[in-house]
Amino acid sequence: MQVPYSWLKEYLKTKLTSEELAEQFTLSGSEVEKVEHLKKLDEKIIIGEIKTIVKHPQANRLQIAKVDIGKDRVFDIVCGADNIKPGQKVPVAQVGAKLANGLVIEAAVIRGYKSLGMLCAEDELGLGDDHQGIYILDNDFKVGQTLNQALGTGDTILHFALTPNRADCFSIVGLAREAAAVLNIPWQPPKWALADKDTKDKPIAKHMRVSVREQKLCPRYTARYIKDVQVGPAPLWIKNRLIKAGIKSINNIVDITNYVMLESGQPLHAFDASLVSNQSIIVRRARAGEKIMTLDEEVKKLDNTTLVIADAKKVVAIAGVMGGQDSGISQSTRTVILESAVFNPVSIRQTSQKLELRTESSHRFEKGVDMAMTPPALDRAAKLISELAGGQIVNGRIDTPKQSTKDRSVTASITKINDLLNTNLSAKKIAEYLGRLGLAASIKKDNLTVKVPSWRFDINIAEDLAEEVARLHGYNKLKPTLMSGQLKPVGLPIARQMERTIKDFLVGKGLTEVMTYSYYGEEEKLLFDGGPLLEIANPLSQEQKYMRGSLIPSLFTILKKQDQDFIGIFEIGDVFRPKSNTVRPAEHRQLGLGYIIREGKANQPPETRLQYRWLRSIVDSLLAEFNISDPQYVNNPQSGWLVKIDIKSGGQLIGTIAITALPKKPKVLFAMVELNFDQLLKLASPPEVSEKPKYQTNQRDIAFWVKDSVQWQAIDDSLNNISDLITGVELFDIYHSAERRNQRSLAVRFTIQAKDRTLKGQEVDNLIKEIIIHLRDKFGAQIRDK
Amino acid sequence: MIDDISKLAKEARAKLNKTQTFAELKKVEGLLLGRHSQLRAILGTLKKRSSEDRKSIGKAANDLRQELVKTIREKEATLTATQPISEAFDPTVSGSHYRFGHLHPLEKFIRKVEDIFVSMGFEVLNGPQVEEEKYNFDLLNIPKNHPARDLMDTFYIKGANNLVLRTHTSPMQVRAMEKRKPPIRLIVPGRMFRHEATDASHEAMFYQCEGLVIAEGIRITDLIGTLVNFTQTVFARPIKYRLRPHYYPFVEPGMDFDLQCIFCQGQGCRVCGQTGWLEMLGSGMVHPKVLKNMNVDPAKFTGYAFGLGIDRWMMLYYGIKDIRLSYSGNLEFLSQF
Repeated sequence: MQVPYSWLKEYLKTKLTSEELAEQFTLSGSEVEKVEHLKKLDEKIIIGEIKTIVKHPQANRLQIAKVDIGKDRVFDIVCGADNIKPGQKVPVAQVGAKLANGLVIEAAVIRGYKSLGMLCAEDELGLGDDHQGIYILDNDFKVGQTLNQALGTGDTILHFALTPNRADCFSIVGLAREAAAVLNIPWQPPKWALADKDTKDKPIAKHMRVSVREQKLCPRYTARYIKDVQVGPAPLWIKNRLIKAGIKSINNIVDITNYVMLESGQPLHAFDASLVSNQSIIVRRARAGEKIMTLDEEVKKLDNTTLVIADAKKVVAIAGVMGGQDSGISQSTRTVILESAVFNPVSIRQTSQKLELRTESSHRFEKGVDMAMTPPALDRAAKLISELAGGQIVNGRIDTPKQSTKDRSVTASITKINDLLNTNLSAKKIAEYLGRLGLAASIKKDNLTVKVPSWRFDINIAEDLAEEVARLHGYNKLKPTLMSGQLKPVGLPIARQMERTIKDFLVGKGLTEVMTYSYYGEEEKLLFDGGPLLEIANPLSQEQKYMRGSLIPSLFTILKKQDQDFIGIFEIGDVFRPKSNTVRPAEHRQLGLGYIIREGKANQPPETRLQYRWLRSIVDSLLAEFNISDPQYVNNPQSGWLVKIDIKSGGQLIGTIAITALPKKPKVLFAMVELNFDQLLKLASPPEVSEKPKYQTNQRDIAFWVKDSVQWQAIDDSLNNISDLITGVELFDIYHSAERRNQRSLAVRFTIQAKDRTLKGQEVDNLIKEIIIHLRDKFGAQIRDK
Repeated sequence: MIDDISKLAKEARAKLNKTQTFAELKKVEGLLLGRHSQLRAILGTLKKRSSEDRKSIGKAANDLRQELVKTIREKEATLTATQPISEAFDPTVSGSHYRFGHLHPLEKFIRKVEDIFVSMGFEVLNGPQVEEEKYNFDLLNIPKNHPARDLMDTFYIKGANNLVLRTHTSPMQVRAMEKRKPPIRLIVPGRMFRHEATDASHEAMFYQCEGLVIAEGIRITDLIGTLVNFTQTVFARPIKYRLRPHYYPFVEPGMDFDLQCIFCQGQGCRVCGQTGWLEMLGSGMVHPKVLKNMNVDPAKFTGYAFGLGIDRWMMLYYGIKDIRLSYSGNLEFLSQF
């Protein structure tokens, strides 16, 4: 909310600077985000009155005005605008004055006539865009006064970021009341009720009727009936204040309703009485199919959840949100029905959300409006209309239904307040703090009973009172303490420990951690199909509409942007998949890593050429870290990928390896691995530690040809079962030869060792022979010559 | 003969002096002490000499031998296998092979946060990012159709009328208390989402660290003390702070924690919006309604909660001015950590 400081000061007598006051507001919970000092007009721009106008003898388009600027000074000023007339009040920039555009006025001779200054248009003053003519001021402006003083330019705007619980602060009066409590100074509450002398004519009941059919949704409806109004522009002082508060000026009647809303916090609405059929106002729910064109010229479809203001025939306003175009104030309006009412916050909020129509009015109603302010705000606006738009207020005001005033009270224990705040405040002091806020406190021993004023919807429990006490006492007077209490030993959870270990391991391997968005778009979805994805109903953009189901697309997106040919990145983060029969979707932590890496030599076997073995060395080490010993690797081709491999353990899918290259750079590979981190943790087991036998180990290498269709895993598994003496089988080379199609050579290093003795050379030789026979018989292997 | 020995000694010392490499030394050693060395030859003739000569020559020869052995052993310890490089060698060239990767600055900062709170006896928990409205709002005293929901612009999940991307890490407050009884101290670092346009200081996705303490007799000053101690430990020095009342529906009283702007020392600059203060954290005493939703008796227990914006703290800690860098996948940025 934007609050002109000068306006606030009408109700609050303080010598604090705007900055000092802003700080007091901020430190007591009504945050001032910005203190904005508006540009000041030059003090040499003053108000003058045009006495006479004569034509410039040398120039057709120019006139010479004699302008009275007070203190018996009358200046001749040459002027080109044709909207000036004798008797008008106008802004006069005297010699030496600096205009908004930087121009400095000098005494000038214009076509032979001396001009001692300049009459200004709106844009020259920086007050608007209008350059049609001279800015004609209202007649009540004082000649000789600076324009600054008259318009209140050079004011300061306080930009408040108010919290929704403090509905009472969304007004000038409310903020003045709050500041007075915080600063502990008196303030001037407004006295707005109309006296009998202000009204005339037959009582209001003879002019109009109000029927509230939904009392729960409209607990108070007050109205005044004003005749003989003249619709036109509002006076400058109102316009200026509205503009400073960020509200557009429309006409005097509408501006007055907005002005009083800003001042009182009570939204008001004015109807053209002649357009309200039968002069009867009915507050009811809309009927299905009813429509209204609102003041913003949009047609809104209504239903029976919407509370409306209707006349005998049609809907004339969406209650508390926006009035209808058809019954609005226009130039021809002569009679006004002025409404000041209170509507149910939840109902207003639902309607304004449903219709996507958020207004200054709905904004206030949904937080709560002080019902005690409803009649005085109505009277204030009625009075201003009669003063500024020449209206005649008829006798009496409608106020329905009958109000039953019952006080709300909250109780608390003094000890509890002091305990919570760790203070030692006396009951008297606490009562004083609360009293300043209008919370009348009575004390009986340790018990505090507080009468809650009509504007404080947010005070309901003892803790609310504690906060009020702390606010006025000053949060910054509370001294920090160290907690005491029972402590259980804690540490990072296993999952997080493991996550840290893995991250450190990968960083040690040269990979850099990235964090990517949890959502992506269609392109990423198509790139890497892992099944259906969870969709965001209201994404910021189409590129961010799916919750990610995999880390691979995001990693790939980053890698594609790099121009190096070797780089590694990783991420550990949550991925999501829809899941039926549960409230929440499947969400688990995933580990993804990716490399840009150059392809190996063309004559290498694909496992080496596509850097699969490079990736596997990382994957194997990672799985070893979790002590997962039985992973299976299964081809699962997908278009767009050179290879795509599923990683399984215990029959479950635990990860994927995927490698591809871009058509533009076919020699540069994008190699990525994804592992289900949560599942790895579940499968993980502590390492099995055994003492290594102390007897001599023997290492023998064997290279052999096998068909491409024979997978290494099968050979490995089977070799390990030949003899207990084989303690290590390591594939150290794969080789292709042009002469042997569909075959490859595998070079394997065997470690042979007994647990209980040193093996004799003959025993090792025999075992090697056995291995060779096994390879030949089982896999059709052909041993390569040394 | 004695003269021969002194001459030999002189030559031997000179030779040894000149040796510069291990290999040379071994060669000289062979020459001086080996089977065919002059010294061996002299010692071999002793048998044939008179007992007097044998004594004097033998002593001289043996002394020389011992001296040479000692010198050689000493030299051995100082020489390299080959001659030191004599051509130009540029010690300033950089490494070429093994470079460590980099942890993300957010990860680094989260570790810091976790470690500090663990040292104060806080458990570290993790929670779901796709959350039920019940946990994200209702149980935290943010009912449907309440304007407080406007404080957190929300992403909703399509086809589910009660699922949101969590707008804070606070839903874990209630989830955690489903399995715990006070006294408890816990933090929940994690991702959260706000339906907001992004700029240098706003992201739609960022990290928060929730804190929750419930025990008998917890006071607002305990909350303040925890925050002050945390801040001092993070920045390794005291930093001026201020407290402001603030409204969060799930706490009462509510409180914001500001730090004096680290960039301008409170003078006012662009980062702090000329205020001299940086809003660092929202907090307060757990609302009795929320305690009840946790099955905790508000008459017996009190507690506090806070939500710390990890990104903001991390950015201040490292002096980063654009929140979006963290999620941009900009490796030049990331490799600085």
